[in-house]
Amino acid sequence: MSGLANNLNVYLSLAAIFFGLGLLTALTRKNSIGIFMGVELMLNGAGLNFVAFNAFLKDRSDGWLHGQVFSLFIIILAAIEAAVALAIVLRFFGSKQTIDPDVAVGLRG
Amino acid sequence: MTQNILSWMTFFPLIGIAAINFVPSRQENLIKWIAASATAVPLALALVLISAFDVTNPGPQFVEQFQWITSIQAEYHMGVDGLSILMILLTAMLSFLCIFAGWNVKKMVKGYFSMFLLLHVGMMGLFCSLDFFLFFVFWELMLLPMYFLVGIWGGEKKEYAAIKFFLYTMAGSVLMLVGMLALFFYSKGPNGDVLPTFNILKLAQIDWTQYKIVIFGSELPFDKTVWWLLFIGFAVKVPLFPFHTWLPWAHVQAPTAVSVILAGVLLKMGTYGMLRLNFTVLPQATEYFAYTMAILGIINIIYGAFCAMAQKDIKKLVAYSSVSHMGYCILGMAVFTPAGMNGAMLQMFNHGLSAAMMFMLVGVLYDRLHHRYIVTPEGKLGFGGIAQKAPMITAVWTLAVFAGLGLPGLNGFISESMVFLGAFPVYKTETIVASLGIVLGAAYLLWMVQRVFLGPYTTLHKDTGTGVMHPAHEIPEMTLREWVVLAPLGILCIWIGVYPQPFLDFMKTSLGSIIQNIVQ
Amino acid sequence: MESVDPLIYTALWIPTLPLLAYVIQTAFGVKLPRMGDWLSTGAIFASFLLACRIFAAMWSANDPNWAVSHAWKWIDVGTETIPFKLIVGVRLDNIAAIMLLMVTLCATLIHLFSTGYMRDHHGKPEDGYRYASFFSFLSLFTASMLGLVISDNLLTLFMCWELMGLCSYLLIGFYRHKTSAANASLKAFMTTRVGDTGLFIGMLALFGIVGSFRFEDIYRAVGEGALSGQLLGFTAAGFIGFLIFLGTVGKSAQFPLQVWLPDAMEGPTPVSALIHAATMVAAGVYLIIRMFPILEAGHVLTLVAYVGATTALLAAILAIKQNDIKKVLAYSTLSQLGYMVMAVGVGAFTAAFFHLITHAVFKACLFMSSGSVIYAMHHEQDMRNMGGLKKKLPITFAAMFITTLAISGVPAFSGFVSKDMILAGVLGFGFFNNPDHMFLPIAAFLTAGLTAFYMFRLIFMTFFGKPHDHHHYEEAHEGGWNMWLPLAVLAFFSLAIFYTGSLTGGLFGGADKIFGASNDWFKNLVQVPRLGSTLVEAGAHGHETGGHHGFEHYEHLAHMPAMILSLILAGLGIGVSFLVYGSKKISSEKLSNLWPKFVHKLIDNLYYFDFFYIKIFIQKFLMPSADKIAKFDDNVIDRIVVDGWSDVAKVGYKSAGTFDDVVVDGVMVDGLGGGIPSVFGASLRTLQNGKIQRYLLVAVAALVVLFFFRGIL
Repeated sequence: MSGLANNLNVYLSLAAIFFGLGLLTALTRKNSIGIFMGVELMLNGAGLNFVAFNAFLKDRSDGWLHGQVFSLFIIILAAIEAAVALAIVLRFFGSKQTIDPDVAVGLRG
Repeated sequence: MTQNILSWMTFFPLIGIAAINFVPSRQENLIKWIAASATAVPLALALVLISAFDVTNPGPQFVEQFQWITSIQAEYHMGVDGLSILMILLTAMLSFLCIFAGWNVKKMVKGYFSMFLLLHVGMMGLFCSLDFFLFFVFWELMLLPMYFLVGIWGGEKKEYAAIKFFLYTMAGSVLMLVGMLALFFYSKGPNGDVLPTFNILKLAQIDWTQYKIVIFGSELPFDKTVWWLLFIGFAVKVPLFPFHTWLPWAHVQAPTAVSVILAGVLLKMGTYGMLRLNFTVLPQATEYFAYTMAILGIINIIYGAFCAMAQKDIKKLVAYSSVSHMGYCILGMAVFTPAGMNGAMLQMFNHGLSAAMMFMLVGVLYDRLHHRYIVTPEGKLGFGGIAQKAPMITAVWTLAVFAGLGLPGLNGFISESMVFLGAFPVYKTETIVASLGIVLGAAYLLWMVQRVFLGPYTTLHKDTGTGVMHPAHEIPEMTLREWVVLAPLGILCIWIGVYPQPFLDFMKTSLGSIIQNIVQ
Repeated sequence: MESVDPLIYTALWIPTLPLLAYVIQTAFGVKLPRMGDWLSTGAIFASFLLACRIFAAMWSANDPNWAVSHAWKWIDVGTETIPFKLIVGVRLDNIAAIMLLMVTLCATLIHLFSTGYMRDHHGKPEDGYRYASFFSFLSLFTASMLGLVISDNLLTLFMCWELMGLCSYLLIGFYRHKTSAANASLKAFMTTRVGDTGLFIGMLALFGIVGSFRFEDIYRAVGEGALSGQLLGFTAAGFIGFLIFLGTVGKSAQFPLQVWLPDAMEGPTPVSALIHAATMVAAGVYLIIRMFPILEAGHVLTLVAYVGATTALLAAILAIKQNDIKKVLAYSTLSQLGYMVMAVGVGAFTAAFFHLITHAVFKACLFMSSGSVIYAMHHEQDMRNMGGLKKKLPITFAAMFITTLAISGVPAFSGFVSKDMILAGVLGFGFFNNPDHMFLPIAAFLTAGLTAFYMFRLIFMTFFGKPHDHHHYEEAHEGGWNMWLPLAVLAFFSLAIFYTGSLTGGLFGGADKIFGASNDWFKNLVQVPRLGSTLVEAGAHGHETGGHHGFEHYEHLAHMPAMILSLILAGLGIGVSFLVYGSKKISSEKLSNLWPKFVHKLIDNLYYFDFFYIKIFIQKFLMPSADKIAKFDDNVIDRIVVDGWSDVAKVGYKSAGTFDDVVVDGVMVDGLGGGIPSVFGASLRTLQNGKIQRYLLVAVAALVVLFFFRGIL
């Protein structure tokens, strides 16, 4: 590995960008599906961090692949979460005829 | 098969549950027939048990004993003796009959019969178990299906009734659990020389008066403290005043068949538990608190009768009559004479028959008229003159009522007079007060009969949809199914009333040994 | 196994036959031809024949102490150290044999009469089964009474006693569409049940001491003085005797539990005949006759005498004002029962039993005659609407007239002989022996005069004079043979000759026997039961008469005056009755105006007993207290024990909330910063608006803040 690809900071920056974009999306979209996309993006940013750290710290990890495994878990969980979330959105659409999250204020105190 | 007859009897309904859950839920009749046969087998086994039972042996018979949970010395220990044999017969018989009493359940048939069979397992196991831990497991096992049976298939206030029943019984079981653990830990002896045990027979051989127990810094006699823990646990089930208020709710809200099981079997578990644990394991404390028990029993008799007299709901009236009738059991048990004890035990069986009949008959009326008001909230008679339209229903009702109020020639008289005969030499004034219950019992039951069945025909019918009451033109007579359910109970009522000795033979040896234990 | 006298089995069949008839009738009655009335009647007739067999055995033995008994073990649950056994059996002695004959005879004739009287209910589809069930109840009733008579112990006696209570409940409430009938049946059952509970407690106490319910054991225990100890502050015998007498007070409708009997007229007339003559009310007197030794040992006989005398007099006064033909007879029954009880109370044991038998016969006849009149008049019961029926109902008239002579105490009729014995006993007791008890003979003789008066009033109003309701009068006619034959038979047996005469001198004896001779077979055969081996000895446990021998002495002394007095009074009663209602020489209004208003009011309200029991005791006390207890149950016990916990929880969080509001909020926060909390609250409130993205934003902001602080620290 060489150059840009050999630098951990590059990966971390990319992950941070992913995470920041995802957070922004999640906070601002007026569409539930969009929010989920943002959340996915954040998760992937975090997953990238794990993989990157594992790759760059392999001499300290005795060959274990904790980071990779963790990110695999994250991918799986994200998929499940998406499935559940989509189901909720569908039900929500079924009852309110919209997927604007601001309509869902049932938890208001 | 007689090797493991008790296990077969207890757990056979589980096979029924499994079978029911393989049947599509729209095949309701098949489900019902599976449930019927799953209870018919234990009934048949119970009859085998009765015929093979050795009445001269006071100890447990048909014993099955295996290691179960070795880490806490809990055993799978089943056996039958004179205390439990009639209760087993009663349980098996009433469960079988109640399948037919609940034949017209409409809602979630599969779940209903599964729950019912699970309840059967709990009840039967309780009466068979000779290990306190096993006993406790079955005691708790029964609670769950009962909660759902009342809470799902009950009347208009079913949730409230179910949660009330559940909380009460749970509170009782907590105390019982504490008592059980206390017995367990102290059973290993002061030096820890023997292993602790839950085996009731072994617990009964220990002299508990030697121990003290320290609670909040004060030293209390061990046996009396534990006696109260267990007693209150069972008193809730009996139910003894003042722990009885779950009973009218649960009885009234439960569907017919469940009310029958509640009154016929569950209440007996309280008194059975007292005999099995308080009386057998802690005889000295039992003797010490005998007078308290007698007074509690008398309060139950009189108080229940007064409450019943004021009821405007026919099912609630029958429920309070159960409170009153169970008082006779407690009074009879508290005197430690053969007449009193045998009378109390027979009264348990008899009440199982007559209360079961009355609850079934309330169901018969409810199925036809969809209400239970003796007096409606508007102050009119809800029934009235039913005798003119449905003489057969009236005749069977009359039989059940007279069995309940202790008419000679019917079962109630035998057990009540035995209780009184046993109690009078011991507590004279108290027994005279208790005999007021005879008059009050006749008063509230016959007043009910008068308002419901006699007089001009004024019966109302409640429209299930709108809830409007309007005059009922016809009351269909008893159906074949109802006859099948009620006839065996009626025949037993008369049989015991005329010739009770065969029934007394089953119990007298075991009760005799308990009396010897306490009185010596 | 000792050998059993075949008579025992004969005796067992006597109640068994009607019982079998009851079972068959209940199960298949409607399907049988004629609804099975022949079955019930035949069964009881067969019992009558068997009773004749037993009576013949007793007759040929001719021994006052003749007795056959056998017992079986019924319940045994004793342990080695504490025995408990209930032994029940059959006992035949002179009293039982005579009772059996009387009950079966009356019951057979009543059954026969019912086949005519109850025909209204025959054949109508909606009422058809009622005819069958009427006969089944009648059979059960008779079976219970017969079972009671053959019992050798208090337990089966009590069981049959209660079963009779059931049957009376069913039969009095037979016309069940009528509210009044339903009320009357409930009243009868409950009132007798009150007395029965007393009896039951007495039995418990007796069993506690004697350890057996058998009469033999009880008599032996009394003889040995086992009942002389203390029980709850009384002597045992007194306590037990009083409670047993309570049973009689309930069943035989004595003061103050007499209220149910007049109401029991709601039942069909044959039922009235059965209840008021042969069975239920007789059972009460039968009980105190059986338990005589305990009553005597317990010194309760004086109380018994006063209760009986009071009942006799009060009921006789009530009977004068009744216009319902059955009500007159009902009160006369009460009055005559009072006589019997009084007779037991003064120690006239034989006379009480004698009157029980003669009264049963003539009262059954009187009731059935009234039934015959009612039947002829199409269920008209008011005597003011009758009159002149003598020509239309000759047989009924003859029967009723003969039996009225008997009940009024006219010589040559059975009532005279038995009543005379009672009056002699009462006079001997209350005048010659204990002048303190003068009330008893005065009440007894007054009642005798009143009885003659009101019974002849009934005869004159019903059979003489002019008919008041011509429509019914024209249609009136005798019923079939099954209705007049019973009347004739019973009227025939109301003649004195059947009860007088000695065995040795032949059945009919001499002519003087008609006037109450001294060596009647009846008197010889019915005597106070032996206690173990000895008779009750004078003074030993005896009561004020000074034992039975003392009693006989005074009775002998009082015999002649009593007879003369009673004849005068009966003649007076009949004479006045004739002048008022027969020849109408004296206006009945004038006669009744002689009495002050409050007396009329008292009589019209039946001395306010019903008012007190129903309006005051039940409606003002019993029902409200039941309601209160039920409310207490709902509102207090229920609240405290379970629902109460939710209240505790509520109290808990409310007090915590108050603490929060007052202490935390008010003192700490408001006290610190005044307006801050509201701003704080409002801003916090806006945070929690239910919008997910806002929540997320807050979370991120919080994270940022945390990082920020972490950086500082």
